[in-house]
Amino acid sequence: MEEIVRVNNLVKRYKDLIALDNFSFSIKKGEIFGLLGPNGSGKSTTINCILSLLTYDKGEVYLFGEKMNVNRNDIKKRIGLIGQNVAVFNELSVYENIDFFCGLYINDKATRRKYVEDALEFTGLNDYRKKSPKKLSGGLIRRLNIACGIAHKPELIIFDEPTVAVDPQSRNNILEGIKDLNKNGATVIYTSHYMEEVEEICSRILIMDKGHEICQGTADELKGQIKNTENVILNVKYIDESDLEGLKKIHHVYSVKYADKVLTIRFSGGKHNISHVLDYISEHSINYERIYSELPTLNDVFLEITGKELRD
Amino acid sequence: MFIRTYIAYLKKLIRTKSVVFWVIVFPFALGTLFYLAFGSIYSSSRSNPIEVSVVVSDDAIKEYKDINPAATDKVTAKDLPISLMLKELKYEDDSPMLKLFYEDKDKAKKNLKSKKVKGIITVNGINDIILDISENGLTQDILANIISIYKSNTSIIEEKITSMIESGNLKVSDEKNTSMIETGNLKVSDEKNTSMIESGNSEVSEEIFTPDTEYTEYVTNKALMGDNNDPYLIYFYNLIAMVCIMGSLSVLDCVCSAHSSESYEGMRICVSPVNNIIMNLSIFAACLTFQIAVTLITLIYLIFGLGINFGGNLGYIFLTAVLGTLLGCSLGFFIAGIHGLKLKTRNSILMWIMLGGGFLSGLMFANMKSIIEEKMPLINRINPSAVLTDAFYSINLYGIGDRFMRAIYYLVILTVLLLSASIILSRKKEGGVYASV
Ligand SMILES: Nc1ncnc2c1ncn2[C@@H]1O[C@H](COP(=O)(O)OP(=O)(O)OP(=O)(O)O)[C@@H](O)[C@H]1O
Ligand SMILES: [Mg+2]
Repeated sequence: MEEIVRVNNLVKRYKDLIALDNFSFSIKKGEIFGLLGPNGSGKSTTINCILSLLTYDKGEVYLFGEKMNVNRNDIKKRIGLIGQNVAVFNELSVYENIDFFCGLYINDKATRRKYVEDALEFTGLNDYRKKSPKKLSGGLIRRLNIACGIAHKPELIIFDEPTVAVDPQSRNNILEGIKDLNKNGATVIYTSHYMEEVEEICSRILIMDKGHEICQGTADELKGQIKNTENVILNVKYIDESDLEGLKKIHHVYSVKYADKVLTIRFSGGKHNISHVLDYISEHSINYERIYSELPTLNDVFLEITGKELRD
Repeated sequence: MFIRTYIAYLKKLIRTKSVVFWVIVFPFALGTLFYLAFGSIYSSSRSNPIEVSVVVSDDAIKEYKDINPAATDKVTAKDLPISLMLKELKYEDDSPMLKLFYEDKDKAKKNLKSKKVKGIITVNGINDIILDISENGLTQDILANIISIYKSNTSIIEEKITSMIESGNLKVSDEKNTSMIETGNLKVSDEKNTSMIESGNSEVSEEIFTPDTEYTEYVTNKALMGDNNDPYLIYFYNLIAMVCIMGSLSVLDCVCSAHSSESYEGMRICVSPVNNIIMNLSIFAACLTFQIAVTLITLIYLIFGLGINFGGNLGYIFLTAVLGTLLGCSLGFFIAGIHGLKLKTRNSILMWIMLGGGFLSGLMFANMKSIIEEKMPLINRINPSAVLTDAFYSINLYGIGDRFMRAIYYLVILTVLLLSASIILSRKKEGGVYASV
């Protein structure tokens, strides 16, 4: 498979802070590559270095097999960026915005008109074409932001947290849209600190923290790397210290944590784990409101490797 | 690409309400304010005569008596041609332009020192006239103009005499005299001649030595540069200059907004495969178009709305305003092109150039510019406001002459320098990413 992105030993410093520390990865054609990391882990910095928006201290970036730099307009032609922040002109209408940004790539008038129509159609903004972005709702303006980034039909599309501050319905729209783009042949880089999103759409995930790679692979591969296999969670108003110790003694349990009236019991292996917990609870007459069992998430992967939560 | 970007940015400018508000309302408000503030002052100062001391030497009277056959012994300083002309000079509203004080040298000097008069006109002979002033200013310029025009036009009087001699109306037999007339030292000492003229042609001599209205009007117009001598006009020139230079702000804003370090839209533009020079030039062109419209609207408001008389040729005033806007926009383009500055820094540089330049070119004190011209003329060549006010000032003061052409020349040179530097700087994209916190 053709390699679309190759990043070698990228080092980026902001004065004293090392934002990227020998960071490397590569992306193959047709992938939806997820870059997952907590706030400030260096996702946007990585994207900006790839696009030569930022200079870096060390390392190389290859796009479509060629070395990228600021002046590579031939490479830039093939890329679309949907940044973390909405980047549209408030003074131009929805249509004019898409047309302007598409026009930076597509010179031919007829082609451009068709592409703009396609983008309007794709993002469902047909009814709003004459509107000013100022009058669009938060979800719609995000869609416009996407339309402006994809209208020229790029081969590599980079989404930097496109769903920040978006209502759940719009978010689903956006995620579906990204899947469609990928189906139509685009390679996608998707950064987020929402593990659910990344897990839902990405074919491969790289988890990063403090400019380092933590691990990478498909969601299942990542979860398979850790000892955690199941979590049993209870909503409990009160619990004794002695009971926490007691729960720990259940077979396969390796961690018991009680915080904010939520009791989390982590298992590594074992079957019928939830019934063992229930047995202990009824035996010790512990009052609980709800009990359920969960498979490990990417958050657990992150937690187990770094010792801290993905979300703060 | 060029035209599309041009149209997009033009739309952006026209639709940004705050921009439209500021660039239009601000000059309008300031113009009206100036008008209200100076309106009463200058309407009175306009018809107020300029006080001048006139010191006439006895020699001058004698010389006049010698050449003018009609002159009697009763001739005084006030009867000399120069005096008659000075007396005849009138403002548009027919009030006298000058208030003359005939006095002796010492008194005149004292009056000049105490600023009772604006200047001393010393008449040592028919064509030997000296102007003394103690400071520079528009009034003093007017005086200097009157004198220089008078001097250069005594040759017209001489021509008149010569032609009369040739046509036989005036007979001067003496060769010496003729040559004297030609060289300008008109001295007719010969009794015979005097009597000849006296007997035959006293009317002719009247004609020669009494200024006709056409002539005084000519001098007035020349002296008053076009036809407005309003000393407060300099404030309006400065205002127009400021509106022109203010174009730099919108260029700075728009060109910088296409930098990846200044806006998210800029980041989007920077990751696209556009040619930075074309991009910047087309944004520049859009701003220029917008700003020219603003300048013209302001000028039209001042001239036709407030009825301010800019004097001189309106066409050239508009032309100068358009060139001035080009200069202002180029300045903004240049500041936007300097690499590695924050927008805030760029803005304050421009503010300093605008306000500091305005100050140095007389926005606050009309005299400032002539002080700078004396002490550090280079500043007046590179200060955009000064270059521009100078051009306006020249149209009014001297018409479309050398001085105007020189001012336009500096204007164009400065513009070309700034524009070329901006284009060279545009070859490299400004890096960095925008972080709004
Ligand atoms: N211009 C800058 N100057 C100094 N430090 C910076 C700058 N930009 C980013 N950083 C720092 O670099 C680190 C990485 O930032 P980056 O924006 O890449 O994180 P991120 O993963 O995109 O975070 P988020 O999820 O909040 O967008 C952070 O610690 C941030 O504070
Ligand atoms: Mg980010």
